[in-house]
Amino acid sequence: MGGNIERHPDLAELLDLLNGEASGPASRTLQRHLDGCWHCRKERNEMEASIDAFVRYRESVWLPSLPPPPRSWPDIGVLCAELDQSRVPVPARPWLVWRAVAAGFLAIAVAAAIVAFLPYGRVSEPASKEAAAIPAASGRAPQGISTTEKRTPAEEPLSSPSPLLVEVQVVRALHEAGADLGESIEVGTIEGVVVVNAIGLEADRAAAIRALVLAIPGARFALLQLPSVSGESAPVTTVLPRPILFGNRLSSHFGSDTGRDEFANAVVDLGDAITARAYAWNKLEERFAGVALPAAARQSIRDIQDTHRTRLRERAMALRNLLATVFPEPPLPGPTGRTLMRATREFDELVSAGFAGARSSLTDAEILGRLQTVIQELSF
Amino acid sequence: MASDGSAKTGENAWPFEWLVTNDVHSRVAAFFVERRDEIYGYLLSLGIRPAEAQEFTNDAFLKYYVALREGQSIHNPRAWVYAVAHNLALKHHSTLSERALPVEVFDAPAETPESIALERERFGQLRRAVENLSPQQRSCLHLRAEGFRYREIARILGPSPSTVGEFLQRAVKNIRKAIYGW
Repeated sequence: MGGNIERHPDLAELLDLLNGEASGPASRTLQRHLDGCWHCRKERNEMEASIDAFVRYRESVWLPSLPPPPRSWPDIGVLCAELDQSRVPVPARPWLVWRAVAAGFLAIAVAAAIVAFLPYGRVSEPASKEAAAIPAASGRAPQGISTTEKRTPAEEPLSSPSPLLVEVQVVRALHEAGADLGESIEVGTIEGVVVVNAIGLEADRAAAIRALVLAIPGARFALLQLPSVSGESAPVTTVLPRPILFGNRLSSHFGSDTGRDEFANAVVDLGDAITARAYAWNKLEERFAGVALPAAARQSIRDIQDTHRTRLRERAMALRNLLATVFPEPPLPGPTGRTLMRATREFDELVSAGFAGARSSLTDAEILGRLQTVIQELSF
Repeated sequence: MASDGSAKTGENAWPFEWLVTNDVHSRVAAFFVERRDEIYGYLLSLGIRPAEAQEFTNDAFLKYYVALREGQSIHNPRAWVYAVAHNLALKHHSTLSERALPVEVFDAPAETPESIALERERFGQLRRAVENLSPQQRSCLHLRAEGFRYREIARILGPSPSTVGEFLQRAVKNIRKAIYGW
Protein backbone atom coordinates (compact mmCIF):
# COMPACT_ATOMS: atom_id res chain seq x y z
CA MET A 1 0.00 0.00 0.00
CA GLY A 2 1.19 3.49 -0.78
CA GLY A 3 2.36 5.61 2.07
CA ASN A 4 0.24 8.71 1.50
CA ILE A 5 -3.12 7.33 2.53
CA GLU A 6 -3.87 5.31 5.65
CA ARG A 7 -6.59 3.17 4.11
CA HIS A 8 -7.76 1.88 0.74
CA PRO A 9 -10.26 4.26 -0.83
CA ASP A 10 -13.79 2.96 -1.15
CA LEU A 11 -15.60 2.52 -4.46
CA ALA A 12 -17.39 5.86 -4.16
CA GLU A 13 -14.06 7.69 -3.86
CA LEU A 14 -12.64 5.80 -6.82
CA LEU A 15 -15.71 6.59 -8.88
CA ASP A 16 -15.53 10.26 -7.91
CA LEU A 17 -11.95 10.26 -9.13
CA LEU A 18 -12.93 8.58 -12.41
CA ASN A 19 -15.76 11.06 -12.87
CA GLY A 20 -13.53 14.06 -12.22
CA GLU A 21 -15.60 14.89 -9.14
CA ALA A 22 -12.73 14.58 -6.65
CA SER A 23 -10.61 17.69 -6.36
CA GLY A 24 -7.97 19.38 -4.26
CA PRO A 25 -5.51 17.67 -1.91
CA ALA A 26 -7.79 14.68 -1.40
CA SER A 27 -7.70 13.97 -5.11
CA ARG A 28 -3.90 14.18 -5.24
CA THR A 29 -3.58 11.93 -2.19
CA LEU A 30 -5.91 9.41 -3.79
CA GLN A 31 -3.98 9.50 -7.04
CA ARG A 32 -0.69 8.90 -5.22
CA HIS A 33 -2.27 5.98 -3.40
CA LEU A 34 -3.37 4.47 -6.69
CA ASP A 35 0.11 4.86 -8.11
CA GLY A 36 1.43 2.62 -5.38
CA CYS A 37 -1.46 0.21 -4.72
CA TRP A 38 -2.02 -2.65 -7.20
CA HIS A 39 -5.25 -3.71 -5.51
CA CYS A 40 -6.87 -0.29 -5.79
CA ARG A 41 -5.62 0.14 -9.32
CA LYS A 42 -7.33 -3.11 -10.25
CA GLU A 43 -10.54 -1.87 -8.60
CA ARG A 44 -10.33 1.39 -10.49
CA ASN A 45 -9.61 -0.33 -13.79
CA GLU A 46 -12.56 -2.67 -13.37
CA MET A 47 -14.85 0.25 -12.64
CA GLU A 48 -13.53 2.06 -15.65
CA ALA A 49 -14.05 -1.03 -17.81
CA SER A 50 -17.60 -1.37 -16.43
CA ILE A 51 -18.36 2.22 -17.35
CA ASP A 52 -16.85 1.72 -20.80
CA ALA A 53 -18.98 -1.39 -21.29
CA PHE A 54 -22.12 0.45 -20.25
CA VAL A 55 -21.38 3.36 -22.58
CA ARG A 56 -20.69 0.94 -25.43
CA TYR A 57 -23.91 -0.96 -24.72
CA ARG A 58 -25.88 2.27 -24.44
CA GLU A 59 -24.58 3.74 -27.67
CA SER A 60 -24.52 0.65 -29.84
CA VAL A 61 -27.53 -1.26 -28.56
CA TRP A 62 -29.83 0.68 -26.26
CA LEU A 63 -30.06 4.02 -28.05
CA PRO A 64 -30.55 2.50 -31.54
CA SER A 65 -33.27 0.21 -30.16
CA LEU A 66 -35.42 3.06 -28.82
CA PRO A 67 -38.73 3.40 -30.64
CA PRO A 68 -38.98 6.54 -32.75
CA PRO A 69 -41.47 9.21 -31.70
CA PRO A 70 -44.96 8.07 -32.72
CA ARG A 71 -45.70 11.39 -34.43
CA SER A 72 -43.54 13.70 -36.45
CA TRP A 73 -41.95 16.47 -34.36
CA PRO A 74 -43.93 19.70 -34.43
CA ASP A 75 -42.60 23.03 -35.59
CA ILE A 76 -41.87 24.43 -32.16
CA GLY A 77 -41.66 27.94 -33.57
CA VAL A 78 -45.31 27.69 -34.62
CA LEU A 79 -46.30 26.42 -31.18
CA CYS A 80 -44.39 29.31 -29.58
CA ALA A 81 -46.25 31.74 -31.84
CA GLU A 82 -49.55 30.14 -30.82
CA LEU A 83 -48.56 30.60 -27.19
CA ASP A 84 -47.80 34.24 -27.89
CA GLN A 85 -51.23 34.73 -29.39
CA SER A 86 -53.00 33.06 -26.51
CA ARG A 87 -50.68 34.63 -23.92
CA VAL A 88 -51.26 31.61 -21.78
CA PRO A 89 -48.18 30.79 -19.71
CA VAL A 90 -48.49 27.05 -20.19
CA PRO A 91 -49.23 25.02 -23.33
CA ALA A 92 -52.82 25.83 -24.20
CA ARG A 93 -53.63 22.76 -26.21
CA PRO A 94 -57.00 21.46 -25.05
CA TRP A 95 -56.07 17.78 -25.04
CA LEU A 96 -53.24 18.52 -22.63
CA VAL A 97 -55.66 20.31 -20.34
CA TRP A 98 -57.99 17.35 -20.55
CA ARG A 99 -55.12 14.97 -19.92
CA ALA A 100 -54.09 16.99 -16.90
CA VAL A 101 -57.65 17.04 -15.55
CA ALA A 102 -58.06 13.31 -16.12
CA ALA A 103 -54.64 12.57 -14.61
CA GLY A 104 -55.55 14.71 -11.63
CA PHE A 105 -58.78 12.86 -11.06
CA LEU A 106 -57.02 9.52 -11.48
CA ALA A 107 -54.36 10.57 -8.99
CA ILE A 108 -57.09 11.53 -6.53
CA ALA A 109 -58.75 8.18 -7.07
CA VAL A 110 -55.52 6.27 -6.55
CA ALA A 111 -54.60 8.36 -3.51
CA ALA A 112 -58.01 7.78 -2.00
CA ALA A 113 -57.68 4.08 -2.67
CA ILE A 114 -54.27 3.98 -0.99
CA VAL A 115 -55.59 5.80 2.05
CA ALA A 116 -58.51 3.40 2.23
CA PHE A 117 -56.16 0.41 2.34
CA LEU A 118 -53.87 1.72 5.05
CA PRO A 119 -54.40 -0.11 8.32
CA TYR A 120 -54.93 3.20 10.06
CA GLY A 121 -57.07 4.47 7.20
CA ARG A 122 -58.50 7.90 7.80
CA VAL A 123 -61.25 7.56 5.24
CA SER A 124 -64.09 5.42 6.42
CA GLU A 125 -65.68 2.98 4.02
CA PRO A 126 -69.00 4.28 2.72
CA ALA A 127 -71.84 2.06 3.85
CA SER A 128 -73.65 2.44 0.60
CA LYS A 129 -73.49 4.07 -2.75
CA GLU A 130 -75.57 6.92 -1.41
CA ALA A 131 -73.07 7.45 1.39
CA ALA A 132 -70.36 7.92 -1.21
CA ALA A 133 -72.20 10.94 -2.52
CA ILE A 134 -72.16 12.89 0.76
CA PRO A 135 -71.96 16.54 -0.20
CA ALA A 136 -68.81 18.51 0.38
CA ALA A 137 -70.48 20.50 3.13
CA SER A 138 -70.34 17.47 5.41
CA GLY A 139 -66.57 17.53 5.24
CA ARG A 140 -66.29 13.84 4.42
CA ALA A 141 -66.53 13.15 0.75
CA PRO A 142 -66.19 16.15 -1.51
CA GLN A 143 -67.11 15.85 -5.14
CA GLY A 144 -64.46 14.33 -7.31
CA ILE A 145 -63.22 11.98 -4.62
CA SER A 146 -63.40 8.32 -5.40
CA THR A 147 -65.02 5.71 -3.28
CA THR A 148 -63.28 2.38 -2.99
CA GLU A 149 -65.31 -0.67 -2.26
CA LYS A 150 -64.10 -3.95 -0.90
CA ARG A 151 -65.62 -7.08 0.51
CA THR A 152 -66.68 -7.26 4.13
CA PRO A 153 -64.37 -9.37 6.36
CA ALA A 154 -66.90 -12.21 6.29
CA GLU A 155 -66.73 -12.26 2.52
CA GLU A 156 -62.94 -12.32 2.33
CA PRO A 157 -61.44 -15.71 1.44
CA LEU A 158 -59.27 -17.35 4.09
CA SER A 159 -56.14 -17.34 1.98
CA SER A 160 -55.42 -14.39 -0.29
CA PRO A 161 -54.92 -15.30 -3.94
CA SER A 162 -51.88 -14.02 -5.81
CA PRO A 163 -52.45 -10.40 -6.94
CA LEU A 164 -51.15 -11.27 -10.38
CA LEU A 165 -53.71 -14.04 -10.83
CA VAL A 166 -56.43 -11.79 -9.46
CA GLU A 167 -55.37 -9.18 -12.00
CA VAL A 168 -55.63 -11.72 -14.82
CA GLN A 169 -59.13 -12.67 -13.65
CA VAL A 170 -60.12 -9.02 -13.49
CA VAL A 171 -58.71 -8.35 -16.96
CA ARG A 172 -60.65 -11.31 -18.31
CA ALA A 173 -63.88 -10.22 -16.61
CA LEU A 174 -63.52 -6.68 -17.93
CA HIS A 175 -62.83 -8.04 -21.38
CA GLU A 176 -65.92 -10.24 -21.30
CA ALA A 177 -67.96 -7.21 -20.29
CA GLY A 178 -66.48 -5.21 -23.16
CA ALA A 179 -64.93 -2.84 -20.65
CA ASP A 180 -61.44 -2.89 -22.15
CA LEU A 181 -62.19 -0.89 -25.26
CA GLY A 182 -61.63 2.70 -24.36
CA GLU A 183 -63.71 3.31 -21.25
CA SER A 184 -61.98 5.13 -18.39
CA ILE A 185 -61.24 1.95 -16.48
CA GLU A 186 -57.75 1.12 -15.25
CA VAL A 187 -56.53 -1.96 -13.41
CA GLY A 188 -53.68 -1.51 -10.95
CA THR A 189 -52.13 -3.11 -7.90
CA ILE A 190 -51.76 -1.08 -4.74
CA GLU A 191 -49.85 -2.63 -1.88
CA GLY A 192 -50.69 -6.11 -3.14
CA VAL A 193 -54.37 -5.40 -3.72
CA VAL A 194 -55.82 -5.35 -7.22
CA VAL A 195 -57.90 -2.22 -7.71
CA VAL A 196 -60.11 -1.35 -10.64
CA ASN A 197 -60.33 2.43 -10.97
CA ALA A 198 -63.22 3.74 -13.01
CA ILE A 199 -63.82 7.37 -13.82
CA GLY A 200 -67.11 9.03 -14.63
CA LEU A 201 -69.07 5.93 -15.67
CA GLU A 202 -72.83 6.05 -16.01
CA ALA A 203 -74.53 4.69 -12.88
CA ASP A 204 -75.78 1.51 -14.55
CA ARG A 205 -72.45 0.77 -16.16
CA ALA A 206 -70.57 1.48 -12.93
CA ALA A 207 -72.89 -0.87 -11.05
CA ALA A 208 -72.33 -3.63 -13.60
CA ILE A 209 -68.54 -3.24 -13.52
CA ARG A 210 -68.56 -3.04 -9.73
CA ALA A 211 -70.56 -6.28 -9.48
CA LEU A 212 -68.24 -8.23 -11.72
CA VAL A 213 -65.11 -6.87 -10.00
CA LEU A 214 -66.34 -7.59 -6.49
CA ALA A 215 -67.27 -11.11 -7.55
CA ILE A 216 -63.55 -11.81 -7.86
CA PRO A 217 -61.91 -12.56 -4.50
CA GLY A 218 -59.11 -10.11 -3.77
CA ALA A 219 -60.28 -7.42 -6.21
CA ARG A 220 -61.57 -4.00 -5.27
CA PHE A 221 -63.41 -1.33 -7.12
CA ALA A 222 -62.92 2.43 -6.96
CA LEU A 223 -65.32 4.77 -8.70
CA LEU A 224 -64.40 8.38 -9.23
CA GLN A 225 -67.56 10.44 -9.32
CA LEU A 226 -66.96 13.46 -11.45
CA PRO A 227 -68.24 16.79 -10.18
CA SER A 228 -71.71 17.59 -11.44
CA VAL A 229 -71.73 19.87 -14.44
CA SER A 230 -72.76 23.37 -13.44
CA GLY A 231 -72.47 26.40 -15.66
CA GLU A 232 -69.12 27.82 -16.57
CA SER A 233 -67.01 25.46 -14.46
CA ALA A 234 -67.69 22.51 -16.74
CA PRO A 235 -65.13 22.18 -19.54
CA VAL A 236 -66.78 21.75 -22.90
CA THR A 237 -65.23 20.05 -25.90
CA THR A 238 -65.24 22.40 -28.84
CA VAL A 239 -65.76 20.85 -32.25
CA LEU A 240 -64.83 23.17 -35.06
CA PRO A 241 -67.22 23.02 -38.02
CA ARG A 242 -64.57 22.04 -40.55
CA PRO A 243 -65.44 20.35 -43.82
CA ILE A 244 -63.85 16.94 -44.31
CA LEU A 245 -61.13 16.70 -46.90
CA PHE A 246 -62.81 14.20 -49.19
CA GLY A 247 -66.23 15.83 -48.88
CA ASN A 248 -66.68 16.95 -52.47
CA ARG A 249 -65.39 13.72 -53.91
CA LEU A 250 -67.66 11.68 -51.65
CA SER A 251 -70.69 13.86 -52.32
CA SER A 252 -70.20 13.51 -56.04
CA HIS A 253 -69.62 9.75 -55.74
CA PHE A 254 -72.75 9.16 -53.66
CA GLY A 255 -74.76 11.89 -55.31
CA SER A 256 -75.77 13.45 -52.00
CA ASP A 257 -74.41 14.92 -48.80
CA THR A 258 -76.29 12.27 -46.85
CA GLY A 259 -74.35 9.52 -48.62
CA ARG A 260 -71.12 11.39 -47.96
CA ASP A 261 -71.93 11.72 -44.25
CA GLU A 262 -72.92 8.09 -43.89
CA PHE A 263 -69.72 6.97 -45.55
CA ALA A 264 -67.56 9.29 -43.41
CA ASN A 265 -69.32 8.16 -40.24
CA ALA A 266 -68.79 4.52 -41.14
CA VAL A 267 -65.07 5.16 -41.70
CA VAL A 268 -64.72 7.00 -38.41
CA ASP A 269 -66.66 4.30 -36.52
CA LEU A 270 -64.47 1.56 -37.98
CA GLY A 271 -61.44 3.70 -37.18
CA ASP A 272 -62.49 4.01 -33.55
CA ALA A 273 -63.09 0.26 -33.31
CA ILE A 274 -59.68 -0.55 -34.80
CA THR A 275 -57.87 1.92 -32.57
CA ALA A 276 -59.60 0.61 -29.45
CA ARG A 277 -58.67 -2.99 -30.31
CA ALA A 278 -55.07 -2.10 -31.03
CA TYR A 279 -54.68 -0.17 -27.79
CA ALA A 280 -56.34 -2.96 -25.79
CA TRP A 281 -54.05 -5.54 -27.39
CA ASN A 282 -50.97 -3.45 -26.73
CA LYS A 283 -51.97 -2.74 -23.15
CA LEU A 284 -52.01 -6.47 -22.39
CA GLU A 285 -48.69 -6.87 -24.17
CA GLU A 286 -47.08 -4.12 -22.12
CA ARG A 287 -48.50 -5.42 -18.85
CA PHE A 288 -47.96 -9.15 -19.15
CA ALA A 289 -45.12 -9.69 -21.63
CA GLY A 290 -42.19 -11.16 -19.72
CA VAL A 291 -44.26 -11.63 -16.55
CA ALA A 292 -44.15 -15.18 -15.17
CA LEU A 293 -47.70 -16.55 -15.25
CA PRO A 294 -49.15 -20.03 -14.80
CA ALA A 295 -49.99 -21.68 -18.11
CA ALA A 296 -53.76 -21.22 -17.74
CA ALA A 297 -53.43 -17.53 -16.92
CA ARG A 298 -51.00 -17.02 -19.77
CA GLN A 299 -53.43 -18.76 -22.12
CA SER A 300 -56.23 -16.57 -20.84
CA ILE A 301 -54.29 -13.42 -21.74
CA ARG A 302 -53.38 -14.91 -25.12
CA ASP A 303 -57.05 -15.68 -25.81
CA ILE A 304 -58.02 -12.09 -25.08
CA GLN A 305 -55.22 -10.79 -27.30
CA ASP A 306 -56.28 -13.17 -30.07
CA THR A 307 -59.83 -11.86 -29.85
CA HIS A 308 -58.60 -8.28 -30.13
CA ARG A 309 -56.40 -9.17 -33.07
CA THR A 310 -59.16 -11.05 -34.88
CA ARG A 311 -61.63 -8.20 -34.41
CA LEU A 312 -58.97 -5.70 -35.44
CA ARG A 313 -58.23 -7.64 -38.58
CA GLU A 314 -61.93 -7.98 -39.43
CA ARG A 315 -62.51 -4.29 -39.03
CA ALA A 316 -59.38 -3.35 -40.93
CA MET A 317 -60.51 -5.53 -43.81
CA ALA A 318 -63.99 -4.04 -43.62
CA LEU A 319 -62.49 -0.57 -43.75
CA ARG A 320 -60.26 -1.52 -46.62
CA ASN A 321 -63.23 -2.84 -48.56
CA LEU A 322 -65.29 0.20 -47.67
CA LEU A 323 -62.61 2.62 -48.85
CA ALA A 324 -62.06 0.59 -52.02
CA THR A 325 -65.69 1.21 -53.03
CA VAL A 326 -64.79 4.86 -53.54
CA PHE A 327 -61.02 5.01 -53.79
CA PRO A 328 -59.41 2.36 -55.98
CA GLU A 329 -56.30 0.93 -54.34
CA PRO A 330 -52.93 1.09 -56.04
CA PRO A 331 -50.84 -2.11 -55.89
CA LEU A 332 -48.84 -2.10 -52.65
CA PRO A 333 -46.36 -4.47 -51.02
CA GLY A 334 -47.74 -6.91 -48.47
CA PRO A 335 -48.24 -5.90 -44.83
CA THR A 336 -45.47 -6.47 -42.33
CA GLY A 337 -47.59 -6.71 -39.22
CA ARG A 338 -44.59 -5.79 -37.03
CA THR A 339 -45.26 -2.12 -36.53
CA LEU A 340 -48.79 -2.42 -35.26
CA MET A 341 -48.84 0.45 -32.81
CA ARG A 342 -46.95 2.86 -35.00
CA ALA A 343 -49.29 2.05 -37.85
CA THR A 344 -52.27 2.42 -35.53
CA ARG A 345 -51.24 5.87 -34.39
CA GLU A 346 -50.62 6.97 -37.94
CA PHE A 347 -53.90 5.44 -38.95
CA ASP A 348 -55.70 7.31 -36.16
CA GLU A 349 -54.19 10.62 -37.28
CA LEU A 350 -55.04 9.99 -40.92
CA VAL A 351 -58.66 9.01 -40.26
CA SER A 352 -59.07 12.03 -37.98
CA ALA A 353 -57.59 14.31 -40.62
CA GLY A 354 -59.43 12.82 -43.57
CA PHE A 355 -62.82 12.09 -42.09
CA ALA A 356 -63.23 13.84 -38.77
CA GLY A 357 -62.05 17.35 -39.51
CA ALA A 358 -58.76 17.27 -37.53
CA ARG A 359 -56.02 19.60 -38.68
CA SER A 360 -53.23 18.17 -40.79
CA SER A 361 -50.39 19.48 -42.87
CA LEU A 362 -50.89 16.68 -45.42
CA THR A 363 -52.72 17.03 -48.73
CA ASP A 364 -55.79 14.98 -49.59
CA ALA A 365 -53.77 12.72 -51.86
CA GLU A 366 -51.07 12.18 -49.22
CA ILE A 367 -53.66 11.28 -46.59
CA LEU A 368 -55.40 8.83 -48.89
CA GLY A 369 -52.16 7.20 -50.05
CA ARG A 370 -50.82 6.80 -46.52
CA LEU A 371 -54.19 5.62 -45.22
CA GLN A 372 -54.35 2.84 -47.78
CA THR A 373 -50.79 1.79 -46.96
CA VAL A 374 -51.30 1.80 -43.24
CA ILE A 375 -54.52 -0.19 -43.48
CA GLN A 376 -52.60 -2.90 -45.24
CA GLU A 377 -50.06 -2.84 -42.43
CA LEU A 378 -52.87 -3.21 -39.92
CA SER A 379 -54.28 -6.20 -41.80
CA PHE A 380 -51.42 -8.41 -40.71
CA MET B 1 -46.12 45.82 -33.13
CA ALA B 2 -48.65 47.11 -35.65
CA SER B 3 -52.11 47.79 -34.41
CA ASP B 4 -53.53 45.01 -36.56
CA GLY B 5 -51.13 42.59 -34.98
CA SER B 6 -48.99 42.14 -38.08
CA ALA B 7 -45.32 41.82 -37.38
CA LYS B 8 -43.93 43.88 -40.19
CA THR B 9 -45.01 47.51 -40.35
CA GLY B 10 -43.09 48.49 -43.46
CA GLU B 11 -40.00 47.78 -45.50
CA ASN B 12 -37.06 47.28 -43.09
CA ALA B 13 -39.19 48.44 -40.23
CA TRP B 14 -39.35 45.56 -37.78
CA PRO B 15 -40.66 46.55 -34.36
CA PHE B 16 -38.21 45.84 -31.57
CA GLU B 17 -40.61 43.60 -29.65
CA TRP B 18 -41.19 41.43 -32.71
CA LEU B 19 -37.46 41.16 -33.35
CA VAL B 20 -36.82 40.04 -29.77
CA THR B 21 -39.69 37.54 -29.85
CA ASN B 22 -38.65 36.23 -33.23
CA ASP B 23 -35.09 35.81 -31.97
CA VAL B 24 -36.34 33.78 -29.01
CA HIS B 25 -38.49 31.67 -31.36
CA SER B 26 -35.43 30.96 -33.48
CA ARG B 27 -33.25 30.12 -30.50
CA VAL B 28 -35.84 27.79 -29.00
CA ALA B 29 -36.52 26.18 -32.39
CA ALA B 30 -32.81 25.55 -32.97
CA PHE B 31 -32.36 24.25 -29.43
CA PHE B 32 -35.40 21.99 -29.86
CA VAL B 33 -34.04 20.45 -33.07
CA GLU B 34 -30.66 19.95 -31.42
CA ARG B 35 -31.84 18.37 -28.16
CA ARG B 36 -35.35 16.90 -28.59
CA ASP B 37 -34.17 13.37 -29.40
CA GLU B 38 -31.98 13.07 -26.33
CA ILE B 39 -34.73 14.39 -24.05
CA TYR B 40 -37.19 11.96 -25.65
CA GLY B 41 -34.68 9.13 -25.16
CA TYR B 42 -34.13 10.10 -21.55
CA LEU B 43 -37.88 9.98 -20.87
CA LEU B 44 -38.05 6.55 -22.50
CA SER B 45 -35.26 5.44 -20.17
CA LEU B 46 -37.58 6.31 -17.29
CA GLY B 47 -40.17 3.88 -18.65
CA ILE B 48 -42.43 6.58 -20.10
CA ARG B 49 -44.39 5.45 -23.15
CA PRO B 50 -43.32 6.91 -26.49
CA ALA B 51 -46.44 9.01 -27.07
CA GLU B 52 -46.22 10.57 -23.61
CA ALA B 53 -42.45 10.97 -23.86
CA GLN B 54 -42.93 12.94 -27.04
CA GLU B 55 -45.60 15.15 -25.47
CA PHE B 56 -43.48 15.81 -22.38
CA THR B 57 -40.52 16.65 -24.61
CA ASN B 58 -42.58 19.20 -26.55
CA ASP B 59 -43.95 20.65 -23.34
CA ALA B 60 -40.52 20.96 -21.74
CA PHE B 61 -39.29 23.07 -24.65
CA LEU B 62 -42.46 25.16 -24.66
CA LYS B 63 -41.96 25.84 -20.97
CA TYR B 64 -38.39 26.84 -21.77
CA TYR B 65 -39.76 29.28 -24.33
CA VAL B 66 -42.25 30.70 -21.82
CA ALA B 67 -39.47 31.11 -19.26
CA LEU B 68 -37.33 33.01 -21.76
CA ARG B 69 -40.29 35.11 -22.83
CA GLU B 70 -40.90 36.04 -19.21
CA GLY B 71 -37.31 37.17 -18.93
CA GLN B 72 -35.93 34.34 -16.80
CA SER B 73 -32.19 33.90 -16.94
CA ILE B 74 -31.32 30.27 -17.60
CA HIS B 75 -27.60 29.55 -17.45
CA ASN B 76 -27.74 25.88 -18.35
CA PRO B 77 -30.67 25.41 -20.76
CA ARG B 78 -29.93 21.76 -21.39
CA ALA B 79 -30.05 20.80 -17.71
CA TRP B 80 -33.07 23.08 -17.26
CA VAL B 81 -35.06 21.29 -19.98
CA TYR B 82 -34.01 17.89 -18.63
CA ALA B 83 -35.24 18.92 -15.19
CA VAL B 84 -38.59 20.13 -16.55
CA ALA B 85 -39.04 16.97 -18.63
CA HIS B 86 -38.15 14.82 -15.62
CA ASN B 87 -40.65 16.69 -13.44
CA LEU B 88 -43.38 16.38 -16.07
CA ALA B 89 -42.76 12.65 -16.16
CA LEU B 90 -42.84 12.46 -12.35
CA LYS B 91 -46.00 14.51 -12.19
CA HIS B 92 -47.86 12.19 -14.51
CA HIS B 93 -46.35 8.99 -13.16
CA SER B 94 -45.94 9.44 -9.43
CA THR B 95 -43.82 6.31 -9.28
CA LEU B 96 -41.74 5.87 -12.36
CA SER B 97 -41.55 2.42 -13.85
CA GLU B 98 -39.33 0.00 -12.02
CA ARG B 99 -38.62 -1.66 -15.32
CA ALA B 100 -36.38 -0.06 -17.85
CA LEU B 101 -37.58 0.07 -21.41
CA PRO B 102 -37.09 -3.47 -22.72
CA VAL B 103 -34.53 -3.76 -25.44
CA GLU B 104 -35.18 -6.00 -28.38
CA VAL B 105 -32.83 -8.74 -29.51
CA PHE B 106 -29.88 -7.10 -31.12
CA ASP B 107 -26.89 -7.79 -33.27
CA ALA B 108 -23.79 -6.82 -31.38
CA PRO B 109 -21.26 -4.73 -33.26
CA ALA B 110 -18.34 -7.13 -33.38
CA GLU B 111 -16.37 -8.88 -36.08
CA THR B 112 -15.63 -12.59 -35.63
CA PRO B 113 -18.30 -15.17 -34.71
CA GLU B 114 -16.59 -15.73 -31.34
CA SER B 115 -16.45 -12.04 -30.53
CA ILE B 116 -20.06 -11.63 -31.67
CA ALA B 117 -21.13 -14.39 -29.29
CA LEU B 118 -19.09 -12.88 -26.45
CA GLU B 119 -20.39 -9.41 -27.15
CA ARG B 120 -23.98 -10.62 -27.26
CA GLU B 121 -23.53 -12.40 -23.97
CA ARG B 122 -21.94 -9.38 -22.37
CA PHE B 123 -24.62 -7.04 -23.68
CA GLY B 124 -27.30 -9.45 -22.45
CA GLN B 125 -25.75 -9.34 -18.98
CA LEU B 126 -25.54 -5.57 -19.13
CA ARG B 127 -29.14 -5.26 -20.23
CA ARG B 128 -30.31 -7.35 -17.29
CA ALA B 129 -28.07 -5.40 -14.91
CA VAL B 130 -29.44 -2.05 -16.13
CA GLU B 131 -33.04 -3.30 -15.99
CA ASN B 132 -32.53 -4.33 -12.39
CA LEU B 133 -31.27 -0.92 -11.28
CA SER B 134 -33.59 1.33 -9.31
CA PRO B 135 -35.17 4.17 -11.32
CA GLN B 136 -32.90 6.70 -9.55
CA GLN B 137 -29.76 4.71 -10.27
CA ARG B 138 -30.79 4.30 -13.89
CA SER B 139 -31.56 8.01 -14.27
CA CYS B 140 -28.20 8.96 -12.78
CA LEU B 141 -26.40 6.53 -15.05
CA HIS B 142 -28.05 7.81 -18.22
CA LEU B 143 -27.59 11.44 -17.23
CA ARG B 144 -23.92 10.85 -16.43
CA ALA B 145 -23.55 9.13 -19.79
CA GLU B 146 -25.04 12.27 -21.35
CA GLY B 147 -22.14 14.16 -19.81
CA PHE B 148 -23.81 15.80 -16.82
CA ARG B 149 -21.76 16.39 -13.67
CA TYR B 150 -22.99 15.34 -10.23
CA ARG B 151 -24.17 18.85 -9.43
CA GLU B 152 -26.18 19.08 -12.64
CA ILE B 153 -27.71 15.66 -12.13
CA ALA B 154 -28.64 16.71 -8.62
CA ARG B 155 -30.41 19.78 -10.00
CA ILE B 156 -32.32 17.67 -12.50
CA LEU B 157 -33.35 14.87 -10.16
CA GLY B 158 -33.55 16.62 -6.81
CA PRO B 159 -31.18 14.85 -4.38
CA SER B 160 -27.80 16.17 -3.21
CA PRO B 161 -24.66 15.71 -5.32
CA SER B 162 -23.31 13.24 -2.79
CA THR B 163 -26.49 11.16 -3.10
CA VAL B 164 -26.04 11.23 -6.86
CA GLY B 165 -22.53 9.86 -6.29
CA GLU B 166 -23.99 7.15 -4.12
CA PHE B 167 -26.59 6.17 -6.76
CA LEU B 168 -23.91 6.07 -9.42
CA GLN B 169 -21.56 4.03 -7.29
CA ARG B 170 -24.28 1.41 -6.71
CA ALA B 171 -25.19 1.39 -10.38
CA VAL B 172 -21.59 0.90 -11.50
CA LYS B 173 -21.12 -1.76 -8.84
CA ASN B 174 -24.10 -3.71 -10.22
CA ILE B 175 -22.79 -3.39 -13.75
CA ARG B 176 -19.35 -4.55 -12.66
CA LYS B 177 -20.96 -7.52 -10.95
CA ALA B 178 -22.73 -8.39 -14.19
CA ILE B 179 -19.45 -8.29 -16.09
CA TYR B 180 -16.94 -9.68 -13.61
CA GLY B 181 -19.23 -11.65 -11.35
CA TRP B 182 -18.28 -9.80 -8.16
